[in-house]
Amino acid sequence: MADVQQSVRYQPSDEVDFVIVGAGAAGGVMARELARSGFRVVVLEQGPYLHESDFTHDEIAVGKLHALTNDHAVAPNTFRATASNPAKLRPSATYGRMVGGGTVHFTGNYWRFHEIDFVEHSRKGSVAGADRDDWPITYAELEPYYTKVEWEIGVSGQAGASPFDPPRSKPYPLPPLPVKSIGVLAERGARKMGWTAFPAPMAILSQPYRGRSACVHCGFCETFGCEMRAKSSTLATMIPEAEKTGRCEIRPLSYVRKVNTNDAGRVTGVTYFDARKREVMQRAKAVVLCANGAETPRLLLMSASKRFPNGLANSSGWVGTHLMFNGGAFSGALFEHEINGYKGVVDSRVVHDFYELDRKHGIDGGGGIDLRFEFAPITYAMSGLPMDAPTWGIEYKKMLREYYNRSLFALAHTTSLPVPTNTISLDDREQDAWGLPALRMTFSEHPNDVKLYSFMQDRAMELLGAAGAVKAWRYPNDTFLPAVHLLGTCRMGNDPTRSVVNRDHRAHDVKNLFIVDGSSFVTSGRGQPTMTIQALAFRASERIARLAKSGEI
Amino acid sequence: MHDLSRRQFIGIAGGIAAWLAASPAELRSASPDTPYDPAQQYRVLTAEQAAAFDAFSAQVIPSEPGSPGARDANVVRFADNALAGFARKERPAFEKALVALANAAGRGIPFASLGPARQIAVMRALERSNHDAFEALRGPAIAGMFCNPGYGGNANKAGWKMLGFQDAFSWQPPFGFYDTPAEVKRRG
Repeated sequence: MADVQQSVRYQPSDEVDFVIVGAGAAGGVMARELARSGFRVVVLEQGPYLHESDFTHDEIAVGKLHALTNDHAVAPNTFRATASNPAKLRPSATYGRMVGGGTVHFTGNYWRFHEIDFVEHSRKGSVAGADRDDWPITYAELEPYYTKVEWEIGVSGQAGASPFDPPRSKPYPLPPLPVKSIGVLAERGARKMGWTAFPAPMAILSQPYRGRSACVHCGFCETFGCEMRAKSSTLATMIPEAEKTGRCEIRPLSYVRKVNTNDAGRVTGVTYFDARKREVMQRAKAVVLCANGAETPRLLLMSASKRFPNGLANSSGWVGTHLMFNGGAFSGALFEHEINGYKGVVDSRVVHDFYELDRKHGIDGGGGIDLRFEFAPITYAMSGLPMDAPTWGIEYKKMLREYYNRSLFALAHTTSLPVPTNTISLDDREQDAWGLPALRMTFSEHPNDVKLYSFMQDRAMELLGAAGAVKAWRYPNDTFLPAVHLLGTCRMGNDPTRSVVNRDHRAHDVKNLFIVDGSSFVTSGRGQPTMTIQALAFRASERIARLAKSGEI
Repeated sequence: MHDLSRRQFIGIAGGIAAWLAASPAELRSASPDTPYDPAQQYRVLTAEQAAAFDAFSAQVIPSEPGSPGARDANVVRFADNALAGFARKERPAFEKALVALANAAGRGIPFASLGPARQIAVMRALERSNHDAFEALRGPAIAGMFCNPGYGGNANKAGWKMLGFQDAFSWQPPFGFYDTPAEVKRRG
């Protein structure tokens, strides 16, 4: 059970120091850090404020019910592959819609980005059709904040287990979770291939930590909320600590529709719909957008005004552009004996031998493979068998019986290149239940990324074979929708004509507007962005607090 | 079905998606807190609809000696309960699909009255000719087989037992064969 905090309440007319839009991975960190720095903070979250007692293993109630995520029935998305195709109604983006955001239902993969992810452009050169660039910060600058994430929220892992890991200043605060059968098989396969399968770093507690319980290995991580507070969501970690300062109000069911600006071009607060769809304006000295890589650009575009006709903070025209997902190639395998992948956390072992591909492959970027099992019973019966398996009848039933306990899956996470025409924009026809323009996604993979899917899937198939699979199979590498890693749409950079925020996460165009979430990414990394989102948030909070204290906001 | 990525179904499960897309408030109306009374008559399904869906789902997951199927798991109860509650928006599509099934059966003979081989042939034809209708029936048959038993299906946890899914809140290693100490040591 979460402690129910007696938190401070502000009036909309109070000019608070910061309004933070979104109480997820980044918003939770920003809330705690800014409140601890002495600032008065209101966090507006469009979703509800749920607690551990609201969570359940009921697959219908939680898994796909949008109890924890955005509901496309009231907030539709449209999708088109390119701007010349008509945009059609289709769920294209899924994100956590509740206090804690996606960290409540996520799997908890906590890979750090590697050094190459920040400097790939200068090391490898440009790629036709993509605006790759170096980050305005390096891995070395971000390292202390990666360590801070691990120790502040609680990450389990084994330092030094991967020969490809970037340098770190401190070990993990918690040992890895116990190895699963999946992990033992991954290690066997990797050894045979001459690769390394190392314990997956997970934002899930292997031991009690800071008053929270250790994982009980129930297996209901992905798409579910953790009843034990063992998953290191911001709901279980940052949010209660933010409230404990007495300076931070978390205001759920508050759907922000506009960031307000004055004639001087400064932000004055935000306008949102409350739970009863009444418009409220909350005043603030500064606004921090942590609404994710889809909703942050949408909100900026909806905040157009006479002074900012193309959307707020969009003099570059780059708001909403260069959308990246992290691609993924999915494969499965059947083994002789029981694996029971449904017990314990989703991921057991990770292979990073192909994180940075050699030039000889003729493919830019790279990937990581994790070995996993992510199916609750209904989703397994709908989608866990090989592609060529029957989907009903006596043979279908026989396969379900034979495969469920003896299957595992390999998910290869890969680079997405930043393609300028892959965008989040405002749909010109469809609206949500509040009358706001629907989120429109335009997305087609860069040809390099498609090649990378196949390359990584080939490696995954080799690994599964080497591990002794009785049978291994591939799933098709088509565009994976709805996308869940939403990155790069308000890029950080030093050049205001090619980025939206600067290295302090301040909008180039608006002095008292900050953007800290997946939209800040310059490159996609290879996968698992939440760790980096939170490292950026810890770093940004220090810099923003310093600016505010020295009167520079 | 095979032309779609199975991976997509993890995010949004094909024919089942709409059944799962209710609001939490709607859900409560059919939550495990209000268990289905087996003595009660169907809430929304007619006897004919119930019989047709029962026969259909019995071919999706057949009952075998010693191995219960959809019929034993009460998937018709699940569907009726869901259509009366959290999946009520799916009623038109579900009923339309039953009409399509009846048309595919043809000649005025109810689908439920056909022999098993003929039922399978009719279902194969429907799957080819009207995939959406087929999925509108297959989805709830599967959801009813593997759902939380409080929804009226998965009676006696028949679906979970069939899969090999054990319903427990916590586990301790070893979880499977390969992570037993002897196997971990073997390093094969």
